[in-house]
Amino acid sequence: MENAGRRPHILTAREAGLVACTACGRVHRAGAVRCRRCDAPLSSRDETSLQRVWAWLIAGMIAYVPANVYPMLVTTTLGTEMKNTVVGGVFELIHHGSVGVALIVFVASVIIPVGKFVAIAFLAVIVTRRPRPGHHGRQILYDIVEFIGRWSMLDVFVVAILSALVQFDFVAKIHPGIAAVSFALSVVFTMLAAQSFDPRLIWDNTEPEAT
Amino acid sequence: MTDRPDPPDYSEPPEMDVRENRRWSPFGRVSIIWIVPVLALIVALAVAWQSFAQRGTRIEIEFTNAAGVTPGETSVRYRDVVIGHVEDVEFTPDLTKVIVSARVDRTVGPFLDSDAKFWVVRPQVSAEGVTGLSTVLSGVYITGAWDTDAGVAQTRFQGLDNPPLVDPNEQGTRIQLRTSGSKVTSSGSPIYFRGVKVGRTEEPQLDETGSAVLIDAFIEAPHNQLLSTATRFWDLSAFSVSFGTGGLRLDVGSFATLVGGGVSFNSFVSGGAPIEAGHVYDLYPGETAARDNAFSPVSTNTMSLLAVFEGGVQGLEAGSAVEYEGLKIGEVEGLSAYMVEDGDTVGVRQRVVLQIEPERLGLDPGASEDDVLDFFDTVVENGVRARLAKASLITSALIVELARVPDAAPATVDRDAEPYPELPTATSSIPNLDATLEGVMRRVNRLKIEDFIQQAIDTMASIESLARDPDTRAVPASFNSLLGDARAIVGSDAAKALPQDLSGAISALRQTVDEINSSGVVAQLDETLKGAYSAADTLTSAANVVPGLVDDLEALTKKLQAVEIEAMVASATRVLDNADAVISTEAMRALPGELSATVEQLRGIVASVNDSGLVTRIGSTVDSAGSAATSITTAAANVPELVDDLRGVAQKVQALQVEALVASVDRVLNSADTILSTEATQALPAEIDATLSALRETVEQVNRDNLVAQLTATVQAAGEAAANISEGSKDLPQVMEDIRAVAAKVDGLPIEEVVNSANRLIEDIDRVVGTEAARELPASLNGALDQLRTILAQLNEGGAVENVNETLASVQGASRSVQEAAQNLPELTRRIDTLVGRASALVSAYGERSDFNADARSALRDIRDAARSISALARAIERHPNSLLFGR
Repeated sequence: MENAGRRPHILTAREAGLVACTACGRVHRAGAVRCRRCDAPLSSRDETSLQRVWAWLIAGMIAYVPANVYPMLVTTTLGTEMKNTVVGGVFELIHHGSVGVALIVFVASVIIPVGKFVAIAFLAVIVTRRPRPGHHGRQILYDIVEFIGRWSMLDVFVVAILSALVQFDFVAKIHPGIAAVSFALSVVFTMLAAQSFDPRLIWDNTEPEAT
Repeated sequence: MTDRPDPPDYSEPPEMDVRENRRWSPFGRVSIIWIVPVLALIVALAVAWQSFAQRGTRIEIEFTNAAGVTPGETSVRYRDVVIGHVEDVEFTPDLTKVIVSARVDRTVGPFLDSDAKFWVVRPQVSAEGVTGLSTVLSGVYITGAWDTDAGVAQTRFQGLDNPPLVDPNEQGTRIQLRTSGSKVTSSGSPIYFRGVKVGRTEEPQLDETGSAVLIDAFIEAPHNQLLSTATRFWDLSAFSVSFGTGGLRLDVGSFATLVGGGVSFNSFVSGGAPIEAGHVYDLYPGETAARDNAFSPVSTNTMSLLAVFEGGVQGLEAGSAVEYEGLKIGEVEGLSAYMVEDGDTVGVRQRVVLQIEPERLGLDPGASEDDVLDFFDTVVENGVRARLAKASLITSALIVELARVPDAAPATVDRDAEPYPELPTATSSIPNLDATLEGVMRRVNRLKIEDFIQQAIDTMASIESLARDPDTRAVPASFNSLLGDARAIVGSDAAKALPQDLSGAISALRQTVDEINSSGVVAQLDETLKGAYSAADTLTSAANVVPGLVDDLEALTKKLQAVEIEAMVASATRVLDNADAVISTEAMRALPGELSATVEQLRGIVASVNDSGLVTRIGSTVDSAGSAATSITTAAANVPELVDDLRGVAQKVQALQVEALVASVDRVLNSADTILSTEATQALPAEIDATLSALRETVEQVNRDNLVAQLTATVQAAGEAAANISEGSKDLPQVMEDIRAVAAKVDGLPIEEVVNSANRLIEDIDRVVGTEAARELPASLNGALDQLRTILAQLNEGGAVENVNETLASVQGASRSVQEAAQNLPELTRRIDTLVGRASALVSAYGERSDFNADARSALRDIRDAARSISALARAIERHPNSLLFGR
C-alpha cells in the first residue's frame, strides 16, 4: 500500500495530492469522493480513525477488568465448586508444578492482551506527535497486533471446549464464568480497535496536521 | 450520485468530483463509536454494583476449633442449600476460639437472630448410623439452623460443637427428663414408644443445685400427642439378666441401645392432662419402677429436710425411701457424718438429708416450704418423729420412717437449722436379727475347715512316722524289762512270805467278820451297799459315755500327735527307763519284806480291834455311811446333766489351741525326764523304804500303846462325823445343781483366753522346771512325799477319778459332734461340686465355641472390614481426587 522508502523523507500520497482507493487500490486525485472503479468512498485519511481506535480500546480495557476479577472457570467436582480467575488459575498451576502451562496461560491471557492495549495506545498516540524515525518499525508493530488479534481468543476457546466436554453431572462440571464473556468481548474490542486504526497515519508524521 | 468517468487515463489522475463529506453525526466530528465504550462502562459498572449490592451479610461465628474449614471453599448452608462461603478464619485475641467469617445471602440475613445456630457438619459415626458421609468427599461445611421468624439480626454467633439434635423447625414437643444418676449419658439416645423410635435425647446436664441430671428430649410430631401427665419414662438399660421361675432370662435391646442407651415411655393409666412444652418427667430406672409409680404424681416441687441420727445408719443410702404412715413421701438425698464432743467422749452423728415431695403428703403441688413446715409442725406436735426402720426382714437396708412414737419427748421442727430445717428424731428400734445372723455367719466363717483338714492330713502323716519311729519300737522292750524287774520283786522271798502273813491277817479279819456277822452290821452294810449300788448305777450310766470319750480322746491324741509326739514318746521311753532303773534298785527289792512286816503288825492291830467293841461302832458308822450313800446317789442322778455341761466345755476346749499346749506339755515332760534322771530321784526308793520302815515303827508303836482304845473312841467320833456327813450330803444334790450352773457359766466363758493363759502358764512352768531350783526339787519331793501320801488319800476320797472320767466323756461327746459335722462335709462338697458344674456349663455356653460368640465375632469382623474399605477409599480419593474424573 505504501512504498517503504529508505529515504530520509518519505513522500506520501497525500503530500503528492493523490488518494488511493482502499478497496481496489485505484489512485485518484486528492479531493475525489468515490472510487471510479469500485465506487468505494475515498478518503485520504480516515478522520474518525483515532476516535474509533480509542473508543474500542477503552471498551476493550473496560471489558478486561471483569475478565480478570470474575472467575473464568467454575469447576464443580463432587459438589465442591471451584471458581478460578485467570491470574488465580495461573498461580494454581504454578502451585501444582505446571510452570510451562502456567506460562502459556499467563502469556495468552495477560501479556498479549495488555501488550495489545499498550501497542495500540502507543500507535494512536505516536501518530499525533512530532515525527520520529522508525516509521517502518511502527508499521511492523501494527501488523503484529493485527495478526495476533485473531489468536487472542485462545482462552475463550479453551473455556468453551471444556464447558462443552466436561459435563459429568455430580462428578465434574465446568461452566464458563462471567470473565470468559468479558475476556471474549475484550478481545473483540481490541481487534476492532486495531482494525479501526488507519495505518496510513503512521506515515503522516511529517505533517502535524493529522487529526 | 457520481459521474462515471471515461476509460481511465492513467497518465494523469482524472478530475474528481469533489464534494463535501456528508456529516450527519449530531456530535459533529465525534464518532458514534464512542457509544461502545460508554455502554461497556455502564455494563461493567452495573455488574460491579450488582455484585456489591448482592454481596450479602458478613457474619462471624465462633468455634472452639475449625477442623476442615477452608476460607473461600467451605460453604455455609441452610437446609442443604448453599447460602454463602467462609471468607476468613482467624483467632480471637486471646486465642481461645476460632472466628469463622462468612458471607451469607442477603435474603437470609434478617432471619439470623439470636436463635440461629451454626455447626460444622463432619462425618460422624454413632451407634445409630453414619451421618455427614458426603463431607468425606466434599469437605466439611457449616450448617445453620434458625426459625422462620425474623428477629433482631445479629452478625456474631456462637458455633455449636455438635449438631443440635432437633432442627428448630421440626415439629414436636420438647420435654425434660429428670434423673438422679443418669445412665443415658450419650446425647442422641433414641426415645421409644412401644419400640418405635419417636424422639431423641440431648446432652445431659446437671441442674442448678447439682442434685439431679436433666436431659432435654424431643418427641417428634405426631407422636408428641402421646404425651400426657400420666406418661412415665424409664431408662432402657443395655441388657438385663434375671433369674426367676421361668429360668434364666436375658433381655437385650437394639444395638443402638446397647451402645448409647435409650429411653422408653408409656402411659400405664389412662387419663392425664396434656402437657406443655418443657414439661419435666422423672426418668425411672426400669419399666417396673415406672409402672410402680404410674399413679404417683410426678413432683416438680421438692424440699429438703434434715434428720440427725445418733450412731451408725448402716443400710441407709441415698435413694432410700422416706415413709410417713407407710406411704413413701420422698427419698434420702444424702448422708454425712459429723463428730459430736460430749464431755470426754466423742460420738458420731449421722446427718441425713431427706427430700420430701409435698404433693405426696397430700399438700398442694405448689405448696411452699412454709406450708410443708407447718404441716410437719403439726405432726411433730402429735408425737411423730423420724426414725430408722428396716426396709425388709431379709436385707439390712434401712428406710427413714416418720412414725408416731409414744412417750416421745416434746420437740419441734428446727426451722433455723443449717442447711435445711431439722426434724426431731427418735431412737430407732431395729430388730437385731441381721446382727444375730451376721454373728452366726461370722462364726461359721471363722471355722477353719481348710486348716482342720490340713491338720488331719498332717496327723495321719505324724502317726505313720510315729509308728515307724525307733523310739516307739523301743517302748515294748522297755516295758518288758520293767515287767522283768517287777517279776523279780514279786519272786523275792519276802514277797513269797506275804501270803502267809496275809493269811494270818485274814484269819484275824475273819474273826472280826464273824463278830460283825453276829452283830447286825451285815444287814446294815447290805443296805449301804444297795445305796452304793444305785449310786454306782448312776455312775455307770454316766460312764457309758466313756467309750465314745475314748474315741474322742483318740482323735484328740492324734491331734496331739501332730505336734511333737515323737519327742514325747521318746521322753516317755526315757521316763520308763528311769522308772525301771528306780524299781530295780535294792531298796525297792527290800520293799516286800517291809510290807510283810507291816502286814504282820496290822494283823496285831486287827486283833486288838477284835478285842475291843469296835465292830459295833463300825456298824453304826456304816449305817451313817449308808444314808450318806443314798444322798450321794441322789446327787449322782444329776451327774449326767453335769456331764453334758462338761461336754459342752470340752467341746470348747477341743477347739482350742491344743497343739501349743501339747508342745508345752512335751517340754514339761522333757524337764520331768531330766528331773527323774537326777540322782535324787534315783534315791527316792531308798527314801520310800525308809518311810515304810518308819511307818512300821509307828504301827508297832500303835500296837504298843493303847492306841486301839483310842481308835475306838476315834471311830465313835467318826461315826458321829459320818452322821454329820450324811446330814450334810443331803445338800449334795443342791451342790451338784450349783456345780452344773457353774459349769454352764464356764461354758459361756471365753475359754480361748483361758487356754491361752494356760498355755502361757505351762510355758512359764516349763521355764521354771528348767531352772536349777527345779532340779533340786526331787530332794524336796522326798520330804514332801509323806504329805503327798495324805493328800493322795484325800484325793481318793474326793473321787477325782470320776471327775476325770466325766471330763473324758464330755471330750468324747465333743468329738462325736465334730464327727457328725464332718459327715456333712461330703454332702456339702457334693453340692459345691454340682454348683461348680452348673457354673462351668453356663460359662462354657459363652465360651470359645458358642454360636453367640461366633456371630458376634463375625459381625465385628465384617464391621472392621467395612471400616477398612471406607478408610482405604477415603485415602485413595484424598490422594488422587482426579481418579474420580478418570475413573481410576
